[in-house]
Amino acid sequence: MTMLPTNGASGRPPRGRLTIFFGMAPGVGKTFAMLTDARTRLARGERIVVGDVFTHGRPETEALLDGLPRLYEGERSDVTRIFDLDAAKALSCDALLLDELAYANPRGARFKKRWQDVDALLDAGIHVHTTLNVQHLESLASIVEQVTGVRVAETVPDRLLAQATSVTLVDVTPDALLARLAAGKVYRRGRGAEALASNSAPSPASRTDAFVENSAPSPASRTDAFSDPASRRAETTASENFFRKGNLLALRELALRAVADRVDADLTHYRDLHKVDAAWPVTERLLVCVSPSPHAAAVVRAGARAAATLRAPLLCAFVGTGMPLQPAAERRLAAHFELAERLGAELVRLEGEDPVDTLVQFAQKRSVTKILVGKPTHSALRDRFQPPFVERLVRASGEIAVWVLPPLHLRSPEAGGDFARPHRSPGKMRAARWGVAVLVPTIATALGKLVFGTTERADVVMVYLFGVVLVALRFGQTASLLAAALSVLAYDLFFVPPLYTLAVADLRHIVTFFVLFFVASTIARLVGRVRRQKRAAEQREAFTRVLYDASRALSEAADARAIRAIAATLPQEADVDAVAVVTVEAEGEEAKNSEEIEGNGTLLDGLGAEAVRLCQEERRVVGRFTGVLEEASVVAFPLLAKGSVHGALLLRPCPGSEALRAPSERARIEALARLVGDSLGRLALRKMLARAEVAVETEQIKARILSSVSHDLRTPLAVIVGASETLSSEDISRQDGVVRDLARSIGGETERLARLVTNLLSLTRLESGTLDLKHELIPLDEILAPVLARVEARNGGELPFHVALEIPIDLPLVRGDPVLLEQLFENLLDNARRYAPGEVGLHTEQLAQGKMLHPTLLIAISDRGPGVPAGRRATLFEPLARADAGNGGLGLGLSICRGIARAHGGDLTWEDREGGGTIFRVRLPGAAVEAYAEQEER
Amino acid sequence: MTQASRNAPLVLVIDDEGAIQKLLQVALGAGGFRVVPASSAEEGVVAASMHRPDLVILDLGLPDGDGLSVIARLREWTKVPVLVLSARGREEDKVKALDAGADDYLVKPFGTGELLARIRVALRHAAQEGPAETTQIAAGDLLIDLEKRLVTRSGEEVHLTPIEWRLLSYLARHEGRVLTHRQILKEVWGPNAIGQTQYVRVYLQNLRHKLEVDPSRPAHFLTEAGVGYRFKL
Repeated sequence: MTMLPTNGASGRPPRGRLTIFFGMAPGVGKTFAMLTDARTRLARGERIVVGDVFTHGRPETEALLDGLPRLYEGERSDVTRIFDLDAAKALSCDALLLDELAYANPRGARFKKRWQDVDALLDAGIHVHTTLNVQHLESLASIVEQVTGVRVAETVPDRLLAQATSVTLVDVTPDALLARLAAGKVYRRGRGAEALASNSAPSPASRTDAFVENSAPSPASRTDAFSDPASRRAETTASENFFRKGNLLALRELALRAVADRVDADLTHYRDLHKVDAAWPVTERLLVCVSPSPHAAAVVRAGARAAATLRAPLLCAFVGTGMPLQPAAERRLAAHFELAERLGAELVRLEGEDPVDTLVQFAQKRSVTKILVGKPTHSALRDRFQPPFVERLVRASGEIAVWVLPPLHLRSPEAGGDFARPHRSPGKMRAARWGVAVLVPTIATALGKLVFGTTERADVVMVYLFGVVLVALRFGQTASLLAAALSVLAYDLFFVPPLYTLAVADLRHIVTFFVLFFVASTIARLVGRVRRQKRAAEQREAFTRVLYDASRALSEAADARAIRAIAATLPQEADVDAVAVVTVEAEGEEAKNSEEIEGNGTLLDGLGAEAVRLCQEERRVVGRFTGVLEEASVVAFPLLAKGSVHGALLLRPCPGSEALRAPSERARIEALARLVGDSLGRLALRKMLARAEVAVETEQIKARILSSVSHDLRTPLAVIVGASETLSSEDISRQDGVVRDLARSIGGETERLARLVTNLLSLTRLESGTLDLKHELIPLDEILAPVLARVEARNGGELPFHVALEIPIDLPLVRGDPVLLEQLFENLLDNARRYAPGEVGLHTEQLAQGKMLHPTLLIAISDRGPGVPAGRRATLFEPLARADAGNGGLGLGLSICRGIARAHGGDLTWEDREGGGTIFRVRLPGAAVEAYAEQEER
Repeated sequence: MTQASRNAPLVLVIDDEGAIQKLLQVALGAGGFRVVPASSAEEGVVAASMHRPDLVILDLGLPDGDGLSVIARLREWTKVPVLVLSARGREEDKVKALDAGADDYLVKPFGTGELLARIRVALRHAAQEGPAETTQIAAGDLLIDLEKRLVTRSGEEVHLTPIEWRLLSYLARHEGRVLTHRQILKEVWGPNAIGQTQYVRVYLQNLRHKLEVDPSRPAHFLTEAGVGYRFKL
């Protein structure tokens, strides 16, 4: 376990420095040393803040604490106070003092353990000073337990000690400590053992006398030996036991060695940093093999110590046989894995028919040099039937060394607990099983008697075997073994002479008995195994199907709402009574959306919301059963995609359900959550692309407008400026005709500018999609009449072309926005005025399709102009593409016309007119006149 | 500043644009009106109570509040005609102003001839508010007799349905002024029909077909796009 320099990547602040005041036992003066150091630093001008310190009522310590700035208000030392992690994270100081690294936080805190707080603080770049006793080091916990007989409940990962920038050993001789203890300087009452055993906030009941270091455990951790008042006497004894000189000597040695090892690690790190030995060769690689046995924890710890000593990477593997573990075993295995991870091991879960082969293959693949396994704890009898695992491993492992470690004799109540108990099915099923185990040999006997009599004994044996196979297929191994035994018995009684006694006349029959029993029991075992494997395969297959269905459904979901709806239905089988899905639209955006099923909106309250936030921030599962936010009623899974978080999936387990405690179950949900996260990620990506496309298009339009705007706006402006200057000059001969002409050209150009501005505004609204369209029903002539009037006025009182307007009296009304539609036709007619003076035809008709309810109006404007020039045919409706650049107008007209028509759900197209000219066709939605005829009151 | 005589009609111009103020002073002065300028909503309301103008020209986009509130405050105590100026494309604003009690509107940019014509119409209607109401209205070859409830085109009687008649008489009595869809619906169909703009459109179409020489190029029943209708003599 070498010290790794933290990487300052990903924009986080560099990791904070950790300083540990390390001691062998309570009372050596760690807190005292830490505070003294802090006062020295304070005097030196460093900014020191006390995060939380326990004085245990020692006056000297309290005196030291006075005058140091504190993060909290109120009592100097209070074990019920919840450390304010967020306030501490926001601090800017040179050192934050946080007593007791192995402290278990009171209920309500974000993390269960103080070391998790410290980890978070270091991540946030805060420098932390803390204290630690040697027995709380994870890898030493079992040794301490063996030596002192006191079980250590609270442990701290070894990596924290390894990562500490500075470790100060606070050391006194055991004699001095005992003297201090006797003088009452350590504890006010003799409650030392409790302090050693657990480090957690007190339950309210025991608070009054909990004035001891590290205090009494909370109700949650009451599995520890020394917590309830009834065992006070035991405590005292344990305390006396603990503070025996022999124990203290051993603990002191452990502490000194731990610090010495660290110094060694520092040296290695120094060498690595300064390239004294360019590449430290990894010569060793350790593999710890764990089982669900409670003894495996000791093997893991031993492995971690060995790996640290050898400076070798550590792997931790479990080999399954493809069969599901029982829930209790699964939980213990998870605990072992968790322990191994805390100790810095890489976790591997292998599956294979033959555990030994699987393990050895894996070890060879990863160049493992040493495999550590626990000594077998089962009876030697089992090895008669199965070649013992350890022996086979030793034989198969070849070059690899195998260390076989002894089981620790643990005094914890957990040892030998529910592990040994076989999995029991409900009572009814069990009764049926035994019934069948008795019934089938009976039937076989009757059948044998009836069909074969007592002479064809070989055939009778086959009938018995058949029965046993049947039992094995339907009712499991135990029942079929019983049936096998009963079959042998019945065969002896009813078929082997002398009949109806257990006596056997011919000794050769004994051989038959053995063969019968051996074959029957082998079949039973094999069939049993096949059944279990089949069940496991079915479970895996079922989950694969769930995954497959989910991924198919999710791939069809078009938006976040659909994905949420699908996600909320996924965890049906996880024994939960409420599900909530929260998605974040895009990273950084605040617009959250949630879908909740059966939770009445309460899932996202309080701790639920905190869980949502935290699981996204930490990108890991938090909430109940996870050790982080344990008090929450929900388990929160982050919805992760590649490199981004898109929300959270919240599950509320059914009351009393522990299903989600099993890591395998959580892993399944995590897989589903990842699937959902991927879909959300894909969606976000798609949105981003679409936005980028729109942005590019908008940019192009803007660029085109800018390039044309200068020319098209300046021309009329030049005319206006010139004409008005001429008018205001003195020299101009004030002939009526000249003045009027100039004034008219000012008016004309101004009007041109006004139209240009209107078109530009409309274009902007159309392009940006902010156009709010009115849907009114308007007779077409009502739109066309004012347009014609304006074109007429603009052309000096008469139309520049003869308009042939044909509007049938029963033409449906147009459904649309009157102002925009006027603009559409004004642009089109103005276009005709400019490019095709002469005859212009305006034809209207109703398209046959959808005649009754949703008729479509077709308006054709045909001219006899020169037609659309070849260079513009493809881009006629592009903004700013114009037939003749010298003829005024921005060329926005046609593009806006099409925009307006399409915004109404219609369209604008053009085609060449037979015999020369162009036809523009406008399609617009209409509404039948008949629908309003009934309003007529005749 | 203005050469108009002392008893010439007084026009209050509420507009914050200096250029518009100047233009209106010249144009209205030339048209024979006296002008009082005001550059904010507050100033305008105060000036209206001090000078008692015969007509108010109001810009809807004022710096210190919207023109609608000015109309509302004026209408609390006076029936003085209010002519609204607004930018094109804000039809909703115009309709709101008219429904709030404005008498007419003009879209910027506007011609001064049009402005003077509108002012005269508004002043004429204000003068007619009294008891003497004309019973006969002539518009081109149309003759509308409000008392006898009949309309003739070139001397020939044209048959109208009751609704058509009510619509015609309402428009004709307010000739020259713009009437919003809402005002027409409320007057002709009653308050329950408000929002059914297509009624007005269909019946107006009928009137055009019955009374206009060229229904597709109407001379009397003019459309104000997005706002309403105006009956022109």
